[in-house]
Amino acid sequence: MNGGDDMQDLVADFVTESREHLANVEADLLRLEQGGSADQDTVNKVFRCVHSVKGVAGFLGFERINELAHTLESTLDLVRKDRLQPSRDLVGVLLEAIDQLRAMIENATDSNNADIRASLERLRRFLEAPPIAAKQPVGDGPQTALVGRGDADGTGLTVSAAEYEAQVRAGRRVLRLELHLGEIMLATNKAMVEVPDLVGRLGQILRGGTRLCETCAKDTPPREPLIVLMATDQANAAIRQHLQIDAAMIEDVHPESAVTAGGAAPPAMTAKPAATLPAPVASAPPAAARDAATPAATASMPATATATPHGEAPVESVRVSVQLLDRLMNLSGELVLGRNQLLQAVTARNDKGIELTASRLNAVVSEVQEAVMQTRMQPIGNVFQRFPRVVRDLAGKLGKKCRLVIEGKDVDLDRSILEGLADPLTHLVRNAVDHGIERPELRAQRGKPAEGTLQLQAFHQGGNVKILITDDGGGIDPDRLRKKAVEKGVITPEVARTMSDREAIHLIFAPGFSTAEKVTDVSGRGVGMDVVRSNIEKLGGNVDVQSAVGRGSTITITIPLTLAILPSLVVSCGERRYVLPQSNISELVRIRGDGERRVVQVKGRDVFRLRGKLLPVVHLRDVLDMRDQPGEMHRRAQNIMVVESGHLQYGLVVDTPPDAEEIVVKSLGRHLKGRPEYAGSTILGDGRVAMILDVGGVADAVGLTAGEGADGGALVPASTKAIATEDSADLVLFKNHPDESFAIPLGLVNRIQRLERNQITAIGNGLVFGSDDKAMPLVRLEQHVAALAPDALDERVSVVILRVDGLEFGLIAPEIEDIRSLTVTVDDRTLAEPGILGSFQLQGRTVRLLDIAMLARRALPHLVQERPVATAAVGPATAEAAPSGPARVLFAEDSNFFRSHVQRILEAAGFAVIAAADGDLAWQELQKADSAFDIVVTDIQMPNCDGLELTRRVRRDQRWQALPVLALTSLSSQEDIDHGKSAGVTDYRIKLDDAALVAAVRELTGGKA
Amino acid sequence: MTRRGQGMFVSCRVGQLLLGIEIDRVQEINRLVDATFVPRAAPEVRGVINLRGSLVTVLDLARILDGGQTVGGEAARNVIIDFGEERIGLVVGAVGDVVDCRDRRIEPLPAHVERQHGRWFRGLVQLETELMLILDVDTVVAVGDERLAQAGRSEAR
Repeated sequence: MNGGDDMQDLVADFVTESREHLANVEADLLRLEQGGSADQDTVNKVFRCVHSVKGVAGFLGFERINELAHTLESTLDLVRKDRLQPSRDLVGVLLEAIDQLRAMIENATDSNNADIRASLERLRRFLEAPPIAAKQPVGDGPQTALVGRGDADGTGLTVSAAEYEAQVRAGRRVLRLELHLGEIMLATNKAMVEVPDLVGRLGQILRGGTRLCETCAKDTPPREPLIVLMATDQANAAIRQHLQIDAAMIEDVHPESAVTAGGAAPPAMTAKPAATLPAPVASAPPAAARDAATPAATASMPATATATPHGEAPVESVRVSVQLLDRLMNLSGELVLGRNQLLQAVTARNDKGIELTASRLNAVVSEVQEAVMQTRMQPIGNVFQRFPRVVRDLAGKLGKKCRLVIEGKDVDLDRSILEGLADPLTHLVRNAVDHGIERPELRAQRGKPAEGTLQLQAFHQGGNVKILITDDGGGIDPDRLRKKAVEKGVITPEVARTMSDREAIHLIFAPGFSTAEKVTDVSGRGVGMDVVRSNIEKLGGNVDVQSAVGRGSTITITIPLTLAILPSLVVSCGERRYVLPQSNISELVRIRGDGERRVVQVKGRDVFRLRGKLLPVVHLRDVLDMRDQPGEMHRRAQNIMVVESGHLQYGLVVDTPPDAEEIVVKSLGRHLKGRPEYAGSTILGDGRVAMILDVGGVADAVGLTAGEGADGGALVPASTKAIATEDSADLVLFKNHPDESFAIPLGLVNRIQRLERNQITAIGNGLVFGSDDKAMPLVRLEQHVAALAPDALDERVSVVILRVDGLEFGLIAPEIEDIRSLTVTVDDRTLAEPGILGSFQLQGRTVRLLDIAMLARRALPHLVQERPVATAAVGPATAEAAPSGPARVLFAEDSNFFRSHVQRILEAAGFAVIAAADGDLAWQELQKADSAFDIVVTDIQMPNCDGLELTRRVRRDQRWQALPVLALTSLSSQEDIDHGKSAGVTDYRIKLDDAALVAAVRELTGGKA
Repeated sequence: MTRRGQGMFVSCRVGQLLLGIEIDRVQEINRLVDATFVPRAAPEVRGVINLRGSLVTVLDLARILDGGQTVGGEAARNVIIDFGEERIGLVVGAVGDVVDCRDRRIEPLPAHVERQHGRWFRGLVQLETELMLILDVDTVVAVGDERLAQAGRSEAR
């Protein structure tokens, strides 16, 4: 952070703000004078204004301003308490002081050199005027009894017996409160300057009130408690509740206790002795003053107050840069011009003119709208600026060390969103310090710097603002969450077992789920992350969490830039129209019914391919229960909107191409609020109502969730399903060591099993476990590839049962992360080694893709070699092999990973494989005189010449009419198959189903290999 | 309990029933019965209308009272009730006169009216030719609440 700039900004803000405050003060003081009595509302208003000036001045270190404001405030306090009458004299002095204050504020940076003695002196005259507000001789005088611990702490907090009795007669008790300001602020979530008010609401502060105000103005809570004597009719419990303090902090005070309770003296107070600034003393106001003031005034004041606009609650105001204001002014000029032109054109019935003017007006109106929206924008720094204090105080209180790094505080957000963000962000920051950052000792043990780092970042992404809250603390332990969730009955033990860590971490958002192991007084007050989530969702945003145990967590908040007007697309479904916020839409795709890019079925779910990525498809008609209505879904162009919400991305099929429209969001009534499919409703340009679709809710409605259909049925709790993802190209992801992720093609996985430790037997170097009356070899990954060993195996360990060419074996996978459908670009160089096909990036991590066949060969050489792999040749064959040798396979595939994978599989099965990177190259290979291939195996989707085109070329040539062509695809629908068959494809196989592929090749080549 | 009728009622027809709605609760009566349909909403929700710039949920009173449906004919009307935080429209088959019941007695429902059905009414008034049932609008708009509560419970499980 740039301290200098910040300070300057703050001072500038202080000056503008104070100017605004003081502008009203003058009028209010004059009104007080006219009224002649202390009209409570007006006095309070003035008091508050001066008070806020004082608070900020103290914070910024403008001592003179602070001092003058403080004295002003003390004087006003007496007026407020009816102990001073707003006489002409007094108001004159007050106004003079205000004038000086204003002058000092205008020249704030130099204000500490100002001479304010004269003003102070004049004010003090009034301060000392009230006859009964005489300085209380400390612990002295015949009428004075020491009360409670009273003067033992040297605070001069005593109450006279007469005063005590007066209070008792009035039905009040006198209490001694020990106030730890820092704790009260944290517990009640109040700013320091609000504390005196908070305390004051409980009753009458007898002593210590001034010091309370004074200390609070300094804005740094002292270490020592502040002692306050107060008279109250509230019960102790109510006081404790109100201030969130312990019973020990409240002590009943009465003359008798003076004898017994003098013992333990609390730490001596360092605050100014009461003598320099006499504490306002509770007593009856001078009768004369009151009498003179009341009769006429009380009758007239309320009337004038309601009649004058000044008497009303202050109108909220926004500061707008002059530049922006000028722009708006220019634009409004253009609007007027446009209107005149339009009127002219209409009168002249000049159609062309009307058209021109309308389009011009259209542009101007958009600009006006944008400029007006900009006036609502405020930097997120306004919210962030409170966090250095929060973090500092909280860390200090918890005995932790924490550094706060703030980035992107200039990012602007709509002010209504900013307001809504303040609470959830505060909660998250507190959580991070309280539960995230570890104590210094623990951090040292874990080899981390003693000081934790908490990072707050804000930046734009698309039409959204992202806010990241990152800590380098202990992270979220998924196992603890699982345990907790089961204990709380949020999920069943079965679900907890099968739940991936990612899903488990999302449990923190489940309703009623407090993550704190023990409820601390800092967080865990029953306001859980579910509230944070729902608050953020109310703002149209969403929240996500990533965490690594021992390394920290990141909370990601995504928030739309503005709430008021939402750029949207209007889609229709039948006669009806629906609205989708543009921020949810990543792109629009139009596919022709006869094209190759089309919606197909995988595992009973419609998917569609977008740049090599498979996306689940949701038909809006299904969501809206319109399946029965007429409208052909297939064999026709389809409009697919690719939408996303959180991590979820899918294609939404709509009837017509969408129209853009800017809408104003209206909330739903009670009968419709419960429908997750809708985020709200709006009125379209033609006056009709349209529902706004909720992208996440629509996905929920059709049951689109993570790990769907995958073996082991990844169950997602209802509260987290909107965050889950689904793509397609099935991989089992697991971690061997917490830092290293691996993937296995699901096609090679027979099943995933959890074994008890005692089911595993070590035989020689290897491990074996008993399953269905036969022993199955177990492989530990780290013994065969460059991988870190798992920390320690749990009592129960996950084992992935793999099948390679008929051989079954188990691979220990300590932490099954997920079963996911992904299409990834595999880098088959950087990290490749025997047993590792390559690596790919997944959410910023590197995942290594295992070569299961090679792993089996390396780990279990005896078993693999024993198997009769091929009749003619064992191991990889070469292209030079004689025609009488192994069957020759021409294999076309554009993806490096699939090409080498399938090639290896086929070679392992004893075939000679020539691989080509696309259909064209394959076609050239086929035409080489010496290549007599027995079969063509081809991918469908390839650049230059795709699989179907290759097949057609093959079929058109006399020589190869009988050559079998096996098509490989990652998805197959009946339509695909029909399509391929008509092009001349002999058969289809699913990619990665290696055994089926080998069997098919074998069959089609007549068992040659 | 028999009590003194204290108000004026807008009479309206829903199917065969003659209903009275307290006039104080009625903000307006209009012809906006063709609401924007909301798929997957509760069956009694007829849709949402644009009432001079604000959105009003419209319920089909017939659906709530006897499971039927009001056919939007010439006579059908949308009775807008103001509930403070939101306004809700009730579609009825037709609207009749305002009935002054200040001099009439509101009788309790006869014992044989089932609870299930009877809960929608606060009582009945004997008019010259027929009986008018006094609609309890608060119960009527709360129709979805139990269901919501149940859905909430099962979701939480």
